[in-house]
Amino acid sequence: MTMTGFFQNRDRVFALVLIVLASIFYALIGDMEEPYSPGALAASTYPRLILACIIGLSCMLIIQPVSSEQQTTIIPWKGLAVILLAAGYIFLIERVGFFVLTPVFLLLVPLVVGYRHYVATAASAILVTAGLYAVFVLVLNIPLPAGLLGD
Amino acid sequence: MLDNLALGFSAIAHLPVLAAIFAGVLIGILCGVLPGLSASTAVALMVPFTFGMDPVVAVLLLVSVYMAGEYGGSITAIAIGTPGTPAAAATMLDGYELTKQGKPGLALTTSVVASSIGGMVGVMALFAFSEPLARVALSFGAPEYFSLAVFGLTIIASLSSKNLLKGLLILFLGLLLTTIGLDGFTGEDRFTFGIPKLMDGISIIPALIGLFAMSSVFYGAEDELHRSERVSLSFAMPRLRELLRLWKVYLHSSLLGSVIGVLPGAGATIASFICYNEVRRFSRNKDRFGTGCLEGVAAPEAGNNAVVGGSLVPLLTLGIPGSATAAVLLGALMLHNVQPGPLLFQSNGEIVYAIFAGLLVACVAQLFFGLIGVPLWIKVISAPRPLLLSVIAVVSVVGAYGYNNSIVDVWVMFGFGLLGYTLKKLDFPVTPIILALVLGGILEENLRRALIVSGGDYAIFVTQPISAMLLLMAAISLLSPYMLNRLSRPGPEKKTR
Amino acid sequence: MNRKTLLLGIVFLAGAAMTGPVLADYPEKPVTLICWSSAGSGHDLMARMIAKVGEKYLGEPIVVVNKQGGSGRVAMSYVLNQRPDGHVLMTNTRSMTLRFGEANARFSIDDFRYIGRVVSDPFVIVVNEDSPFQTIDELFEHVRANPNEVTIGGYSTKSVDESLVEELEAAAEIELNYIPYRGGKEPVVAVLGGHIEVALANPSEMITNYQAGNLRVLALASKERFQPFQDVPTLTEQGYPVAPDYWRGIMAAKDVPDAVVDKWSVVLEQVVADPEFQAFLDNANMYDGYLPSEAFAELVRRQSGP
Repeated sequence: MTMTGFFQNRDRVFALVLIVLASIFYALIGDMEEPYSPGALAASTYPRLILACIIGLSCMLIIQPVSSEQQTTIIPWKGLAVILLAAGYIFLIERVGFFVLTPVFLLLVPLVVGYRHYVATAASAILVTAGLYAVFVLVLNIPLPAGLLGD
Repeated sequence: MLDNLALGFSAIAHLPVLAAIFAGVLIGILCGVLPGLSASTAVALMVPFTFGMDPVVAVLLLVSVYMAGEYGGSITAIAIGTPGTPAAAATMLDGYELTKQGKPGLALTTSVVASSIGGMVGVMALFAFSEPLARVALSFGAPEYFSLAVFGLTIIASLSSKNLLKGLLILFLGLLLTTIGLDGFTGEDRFTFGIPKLMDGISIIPALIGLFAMSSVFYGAEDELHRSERVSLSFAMPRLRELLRLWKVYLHSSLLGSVIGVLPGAGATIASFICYNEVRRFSRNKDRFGTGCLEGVAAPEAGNNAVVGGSLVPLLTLGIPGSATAAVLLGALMLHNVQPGPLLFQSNGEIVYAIFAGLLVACVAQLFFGLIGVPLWIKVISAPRPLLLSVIAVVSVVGAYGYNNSIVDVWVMFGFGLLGYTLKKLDFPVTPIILALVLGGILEENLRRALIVSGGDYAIFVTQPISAMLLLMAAISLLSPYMLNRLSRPGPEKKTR
Repeated sequence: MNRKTLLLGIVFLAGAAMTGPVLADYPEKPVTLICWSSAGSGHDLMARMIAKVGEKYLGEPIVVVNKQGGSGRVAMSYVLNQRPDGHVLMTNTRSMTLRFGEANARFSIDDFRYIGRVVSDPFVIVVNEDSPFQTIDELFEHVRANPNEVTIGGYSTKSVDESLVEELEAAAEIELNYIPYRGGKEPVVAVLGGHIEVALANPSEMITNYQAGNLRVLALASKERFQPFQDVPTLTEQGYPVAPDYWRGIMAAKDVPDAVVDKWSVVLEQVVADPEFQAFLDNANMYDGYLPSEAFAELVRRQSGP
């Protein structure tokens, strides 16, 4: 089995990543205070136990025989675009405010995904924002970030 | 006893009380549907509204919200594959499959019926068996809770029949996530990286929203490539006969749910998964579970609504809340000058019976509103996918934010969304994380506490009878798939009806 | 008008003159009271009651917002980041201010203004009614004979509960096995179920079971006896001067104007004296612990000092 062949299997790559991360965290948690009562476990014992199990299971995943199905690698541009949009939405929501940003988001996402019925999109953007306002702020009394619209 | 029940019914036969029950059910369903608003948040939000009300009205409003909230979570679990409450994750296993096959009506209806029956059985258990059930509640100490958590986690074995190794790996990942935060025993920081909000650990609701709702948005965005997979949704609802056939499932799961609900700290989530697992264990066609069978929807739903009645047992008899929502109820009762506890039946007996009667009415109301809602929900999810996805994304963000007024929760939600998305693409199961997040804390906390109490003696887990029994059940649960495989000889398939 | 009102009026005018029209009439809009405990807890109930009764005296609605996290750290962070005009306040408790004294504390005593102490929540030492110990001395005798074996449960670690146990161990020269629990009621449940032998609790957490006869109170951890345990001796009476003072109150960010603090001090006094609030205290088995702003600030300083 060649090196590239090894890395082509997603499961194995994932397992390897887990092993590396788990080892880092194992070291990171360091040594915690020794407990004061007899019998008590230190704060690092249980996490280290779990990390050890993760490393063990990941090793087993690596040596597991793989199915020979071809795994296509298409880069999911639309998925990534939505991820970025969502991140941007969350990042900006406290600064810009829910009421301004939400309709914008609700307009952009269907566009990015390729939905052509613009009227429906616009209608949904307005209705949903209004609906959420009604439910969260009016009925349930949960404040939503107001951002630019003031306190 | 029956005249007490009659007393209860007469106490609630007034317009304000009935209005409170109906309003509570509607609000509960709504909150269950919205990701981010679990039953406990919904009840907590309603408390300020109840200030001016008569105690009976106030209490019944809140318990109705509680009951209906547990049901409401299953709607989104079935309709869009996102549990509205953690307990609904078990309902989603078969419920969402049915939707994917174009039969959401079957699942949604079964869910309402099962929830209502489960709720009623739970209330009746509360009414008839509160004394012995309260004693059960007290008999659970640290070793017992540890073993219960272990038993709960072994359910992963039956849920991951496809690939046990992957399932276990995800489970342990979830367990690791529960260690984030300030350690409850030494006060030390574990994996918080200096973020104060993380000191209390990862909140399960934002994690849940991210793992299912947000990841489905990311996944669905690229799904436009697979447009041919979309199935048209039928409005068909099951026939009465089909629903009645499941009576054993309802009964079994409701009783199980009532008992589990009694344990303070165990909750609807544990109950729904255990009920799902137990129904599957005793079923002749185990393989049907996970592909869209009605039993897989009925069992967890009956179980998690029965928990409502169960969790009120320790609250009303001992003054000890059996779940987070019951804790909020306790506070609300105290604000209305009602002191739940052993003397409640003497001092405020009419409130207790009113609660019983009111909850029964609430279950009926829930059945009514739920059934009306079924065609409504189907219409909603028939909306164009891109619009639906964008709305789900917004509701997820708002839900995660509203959960505890914190943007950190929203980022946690986003992070879990990425995690869920990655796992789906890599063909790893996602449900084990929910189980781990719910049970992980209980597991570690009680392990360590039991050891402090016993002075380091590990034997405590097997010398205590209840704990030993639960560990035995856990072992059986893990090993039985293998044992059954050995026992059954390859041969002609058993014909099923 | 009396001196106090006159003084208040002068302070108010002076404050208004210094800060301009912004403070002309505090409060200008609803006030937010941040509570860092979960909904339904005793702490949360106190906040909601203050909000409900306080509206009458303040003139504006008071909204309680729960911001949990890090035992108050998230709430403190939030409050310090708001405009210090007095429209955002938060609850505080003794265990929170204890942390100011810690080595790597993020916040210090001087980051806040202390408006008033509201309730006082003393501790009692309880055992199951089946327990062989009738008095606290019997318990201690047994503990001396079996060091580190007798289990005593309390809330959390590095908390007032744990420090109470430590003080007790020092005063009585005994060694107990302290078991931390996550919620206030859990130690009581554990004692009821026979899983541990002794528990520390506030009256509101154990009163119903006490009245039903399921629990026995061995001693009160306070300077004087209080209702409804007037027949139970205090630890001090028995020779162990352990009487931690567990309380809850209100505080605001340090830059909030004096006028606001004073106004709130007055409002708080009225709230606590209000019959509705007193009835709540009775029902919840919490105790009136009102202290006005200056006395409160002094108390906090004294208790959180090095």
